[in-house]
Amino acid sequence: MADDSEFVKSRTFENLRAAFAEEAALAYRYLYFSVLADFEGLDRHSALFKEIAEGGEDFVQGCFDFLKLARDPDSGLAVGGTLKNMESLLQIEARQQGRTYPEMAQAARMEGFPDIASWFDTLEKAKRAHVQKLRKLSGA
Amino acid sequence: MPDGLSAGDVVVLSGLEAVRRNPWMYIGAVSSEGAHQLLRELVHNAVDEALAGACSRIVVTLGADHCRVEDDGRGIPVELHPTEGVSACEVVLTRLHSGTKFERGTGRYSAGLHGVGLSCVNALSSWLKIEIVRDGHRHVQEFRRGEPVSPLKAVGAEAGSGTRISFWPDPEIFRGFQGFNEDESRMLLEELAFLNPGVEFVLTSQPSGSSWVYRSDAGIAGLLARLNPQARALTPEMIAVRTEADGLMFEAVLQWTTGRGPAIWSYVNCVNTRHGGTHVAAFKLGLTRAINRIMSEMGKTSGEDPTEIEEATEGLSAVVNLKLARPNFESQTKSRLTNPDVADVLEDAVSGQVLEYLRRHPQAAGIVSDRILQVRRDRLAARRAADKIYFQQVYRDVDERIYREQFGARSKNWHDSAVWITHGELLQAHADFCRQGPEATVLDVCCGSGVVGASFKGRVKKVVGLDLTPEMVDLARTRLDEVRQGNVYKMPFEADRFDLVCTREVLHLLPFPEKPVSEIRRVLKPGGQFVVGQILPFSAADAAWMYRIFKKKQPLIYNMFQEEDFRRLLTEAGFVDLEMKEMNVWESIDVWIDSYETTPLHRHEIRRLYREAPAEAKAVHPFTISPSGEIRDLWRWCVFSARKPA
Repeated sequence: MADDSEFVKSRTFENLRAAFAEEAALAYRYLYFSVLADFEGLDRHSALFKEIAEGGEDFVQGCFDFLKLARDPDSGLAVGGTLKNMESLLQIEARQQGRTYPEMAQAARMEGFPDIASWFDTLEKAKRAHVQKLRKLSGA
Repeated sequence: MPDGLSAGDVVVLSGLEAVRRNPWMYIGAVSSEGAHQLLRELVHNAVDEALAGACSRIVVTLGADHCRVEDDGRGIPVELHPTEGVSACEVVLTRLHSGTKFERGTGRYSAGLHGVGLSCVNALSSWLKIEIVRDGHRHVQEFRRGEPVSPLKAVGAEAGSGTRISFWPDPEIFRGFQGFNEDESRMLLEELAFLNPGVEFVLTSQPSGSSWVYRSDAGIAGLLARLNPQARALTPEMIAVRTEADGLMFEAVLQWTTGRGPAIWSYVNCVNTRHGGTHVAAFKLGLTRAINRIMSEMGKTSGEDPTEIEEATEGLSAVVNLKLARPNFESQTKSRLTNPDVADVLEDAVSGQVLEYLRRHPQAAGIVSDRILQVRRDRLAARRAADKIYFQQVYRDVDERIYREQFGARSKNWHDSAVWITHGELLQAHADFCRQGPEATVLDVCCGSGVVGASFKGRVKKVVGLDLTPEMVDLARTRLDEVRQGNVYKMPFEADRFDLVCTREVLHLLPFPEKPVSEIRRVLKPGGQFVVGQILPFSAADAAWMYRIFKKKQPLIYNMFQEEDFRRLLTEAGFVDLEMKEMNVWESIDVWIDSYETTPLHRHEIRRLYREAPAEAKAVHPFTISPSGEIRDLWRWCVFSARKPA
């Protein structure tokens, strides 16, 4: 295996990761606003938002095309075939479920946002269900 | 009711009118392929009788404009239907979702499942005649476009039983229909003969006067040998898997071969599921599980890095045959199975039985695991070419070896590897830019086989070629006056030597393209001309999508130029008098991606990128996907001419 450490340490790798996340978030933002435009009866706006959101899939995945040459930056694992990729997804989902969302929920509770805390709890449970489904499929 | 709209105005497409209005919903297509689907529906109905153990002979007769399917099964019931007031047979032929197969007791496994087949065939036939032998009589009824011409009549005493249906596909629906295809029908019946051991299938073609009889007891092992006769087996015998559970019967045979990619033929209740589905996915997964297990038992892998499905099924040849009481398909043409509930049963059976076989046959297990390790090494090597670009700092030091390896391998079928390479008009567009006299000397940079340089012959005195790859240099020597081997970043020529330099579809493969462009300027005489052709996106709207496609096809791509970038590249190198000619050329993507540097995964991803192209890209970038999946792309070729100032 060629040495990928320089690539992983580079600012470019970090930038790819940021672009991946930003483009993914932006695509969903477009979809969100498209629903609002729909409600206002602005069909052309809604259609354009949807079209741009769908085109955004290539922007998101194009970033991952490069990231995967080294590793999935969020799990730290190599990207391979489905059986390997399941491991990567499991790690991310398990981390979100086990740490990220419980911490977020606790913070929200302490800051006086109980409804948002409950939202994070809900996400945590969704993640737990994902983990179970993935484990079942991988026969573990 | 406003405007007098009453219940009577509501259109209900009952019965067969709906089928005639939207035939593709029921049979997939109204091309000649659709007419063949009618034939398959009837044959599968006959096969259902065989699956029920009630039929031993199926005869298909092809006429010039019609077809007859005959079986010696039980015969469709002829007695009066208890609620419909006509014969049961007429109900089956004229009502959608009618038939005996909804009662699971009558035939456990059936292909013609939805009760749609026979009535659809009737609806889409300009004429249909059914003859049923049952209860000691022959009964006859005829239909025109799905409507009975007369009631069912008994025409005479006859012993035995069976059904015979003759139909004429309606030319109003199947406009391009030119008669049934003999080869396709032969393949269908031969396949069915293997899948139904002991049942005889006869095909007679009246137009050619030929006749074939198929009957076999070899089962799916015989079918695999027949389907894949060229395959060179790696292991001495096929591995067979078999299991039965409530409502399903499954069998498979498999063998690894020296071939590339998996070749898996799959069937559900004797219907060829061309696009696979849950049964094929479960088969592959179970197999991969067995492989992982045996390899770790043999100490061939650590278990940390499991074998991928793609690796385990490389070169695999298999027939997967499932009989299922309640199959669900993606569409009425039944090309893909969607039942999720069968996955676990099949996966466990395949994984358990293949593992057991390999444990009992250590020699075969050794051969298979060595092969898989080899496949892994090859895949890693292919990845390395792409990795190098990022991990070995070629930006500072361009690695000639990668280019040489890749284009050396590609030189073997260079001219067949894409349409554009030898496209006459495109080459002409380069040569037509030539403003040099008959004494001029031309240099073709990264000349490949030399076709671009050769297009200038006759206009100039001498054409010289330069290429990095020895194999390409040899090819170009057959076309050009002189060919040198060398690197475009540092060309083996003195300054101011050539009247014209040409190159085509090269600069996008080179990091720091401004370097080779300034090298080209260096070797040109003052006032000399640079002619360069390049595929460019139509606009920013298709550029990101094209970038992904091109990068997946060719990992050596460094630049996805857009028109303004390319113009800037030339002007910033000091070229003047820029001219551009634009030309659209259709390229076969299937041919283009069938190449050494494009991995199977990348081919798959490229096809998907076309199938799911974003609307933004489609709006500006024409391409076509045929019903059978071939992709043709209209590439925007831009040929530029620029001059080095005098």
